[in-house]
Amino acid sequence: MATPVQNALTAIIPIKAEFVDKLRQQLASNPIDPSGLDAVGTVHFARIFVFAQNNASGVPANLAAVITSYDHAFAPYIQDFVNQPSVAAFFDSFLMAVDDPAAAGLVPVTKNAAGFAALVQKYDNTNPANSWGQWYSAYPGLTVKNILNPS
Amino acid sequence: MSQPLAITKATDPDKIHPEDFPDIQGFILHGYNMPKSRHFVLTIGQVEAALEFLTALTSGAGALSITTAERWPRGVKPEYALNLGLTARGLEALELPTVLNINQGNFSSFLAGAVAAAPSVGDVGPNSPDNWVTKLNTANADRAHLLLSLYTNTALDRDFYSTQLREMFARVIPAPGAPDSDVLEWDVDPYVFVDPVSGESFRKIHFGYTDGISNPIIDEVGLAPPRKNQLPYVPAWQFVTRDGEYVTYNLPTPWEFGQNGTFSAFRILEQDVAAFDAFLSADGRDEAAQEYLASKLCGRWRNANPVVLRPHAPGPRLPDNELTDFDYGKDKVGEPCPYSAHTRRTNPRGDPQVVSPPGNKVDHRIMRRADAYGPHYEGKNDGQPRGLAGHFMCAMLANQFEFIMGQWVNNATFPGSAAQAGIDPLLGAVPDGSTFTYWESGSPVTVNGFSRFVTTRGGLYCFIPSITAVKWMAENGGASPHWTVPTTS
Repeated sequence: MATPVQNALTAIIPIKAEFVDKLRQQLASNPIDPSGLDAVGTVHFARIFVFAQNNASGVPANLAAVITSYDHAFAPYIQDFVNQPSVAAFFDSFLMAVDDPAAAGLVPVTKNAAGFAALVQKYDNTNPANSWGQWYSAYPGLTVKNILNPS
Repeated sequence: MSQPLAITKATDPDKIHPEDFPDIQGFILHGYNMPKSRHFVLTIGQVEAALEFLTALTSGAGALSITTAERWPRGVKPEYALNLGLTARGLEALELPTVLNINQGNFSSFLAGAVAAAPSVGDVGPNSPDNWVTKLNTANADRAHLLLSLYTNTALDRDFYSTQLREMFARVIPAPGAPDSDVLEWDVDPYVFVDPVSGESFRKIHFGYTDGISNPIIDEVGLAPPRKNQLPYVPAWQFVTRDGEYVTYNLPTPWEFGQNGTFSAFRILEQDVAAFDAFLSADGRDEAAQEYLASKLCGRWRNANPVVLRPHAPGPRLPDNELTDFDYGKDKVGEPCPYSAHTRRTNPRGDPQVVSPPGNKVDHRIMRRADAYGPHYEGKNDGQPRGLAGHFMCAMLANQFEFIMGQWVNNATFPGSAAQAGIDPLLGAVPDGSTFTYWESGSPVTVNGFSRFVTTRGGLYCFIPSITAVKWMAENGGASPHWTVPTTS
């Protein structure tokens, strides 16, 4: 199979204890404006959640997951990503909840795209730079833009 | 003597104002269109002498001064123009005070230098910094500190002002015979083609294409509204460092240092014209077929007409505005203009298959101030080195220059599989034996026997400071303790 033009991101990120419930509630009640991701045009799927208390997997409930399938390399496109106001607004808020000494210094994320990318990649368990497991794509040569704008 | 600057912190990140001109190095905003230039790369050996040199370049007391963006009286070109860049190691060598802050996240490429960035821009294999010219190569790049670019109207003036400039920096560099006392001097002599019919003159690169067609226009107070299909003006902060809410970087501080500058990827790109011609003429192609293939490689015919507007034959050269006021419209597979075509790679013009968000025509642009070096190619392989050298400028090297090189020029898959794109044939790190594909009547046409035509011979990442910044450095350098290039965090 040809090397897919898509890539995976599976970031498991620690959340400060005092923000866990607040973030979970925010994600449940305030959907992210999809127009920002639409405009980026490189994100196939994305989901973000905080692990539930007492989940069957035994994953600590102070962890958030950012899981996405996207086109091309991660870091070079992150500026385009955070240039979208709704995306930037969400991650500015999210970073304040992240339990990492570098996180708060990355707000506003629009001005700190490279640092933001590095932080996310630090917690990415499927960083393409690592040997991480298996990846399947039903359409390895098609980008989001190809799919939405067929020839 | 120049007048003291009374620069304040700019409040408009989007537009250049007339009062900014005296503070901004001229070639950021305007191409000089001077036919002779010489680039000097040198090592700072003596800090005090270097600081005096910076003072001399900005006080009017020296034989030469840095050329600003101020309009030339009556539009008459001066005898010379001079511009200055400093590498991160050059800033360190000036021993600037520790108050200096250049954000690592935003400017990591500049701080690490062109050698470190090599893999991200395709400078691998034969392009590797290990093979670059002395002074810029892996072994020496850390001691390449200052880049001086001298532009003149005549070769005589170039020699005259070079002599004066060498006298000015003679005490700056290490003493003769000492390590790193060598100065790289690189002459650029663009080939000017005179149209035998119209009498008009055009610059050409050695591959025969007309040069200097399309550069971004930085937004400026007083510009006429863009023409109907003209590419939008680019916000000033993308090319002239500014602070502002929507600016996507943290201005280097203090602002007197960081404001009104830019960054440059200085590049020396050797062009193998004999190999290029051999590729075009292979398989018995006649002259018309060679020109057709050449147009597909570039995205423009050699007279500059865009392939997307003139798909089948070049025709007479189009008016200047038509050479630039076009986009790739509904061409989603690369017919008539292949996705790998050089001009489409380096400036997708809002192509919804490529840019984010679709239609975005202003992000990821660079300002090109480069021209041909080496003798004009006369149709046979004379073994003489020739190519293109100069500055590729932008405020964020990572998001502009490196993005274009890494994600567009050298990325075979960026438009997806439908386009069968491959790598930019005129600028990319093309492996020997590659194929080039263009589309004809809805079917791909693959041309074999493709090889690398361009080899990187040098690169240097520089900060192009404002006049205020040069003065600030001159006044504050020699500090103890002093700023050092931050290590990668």
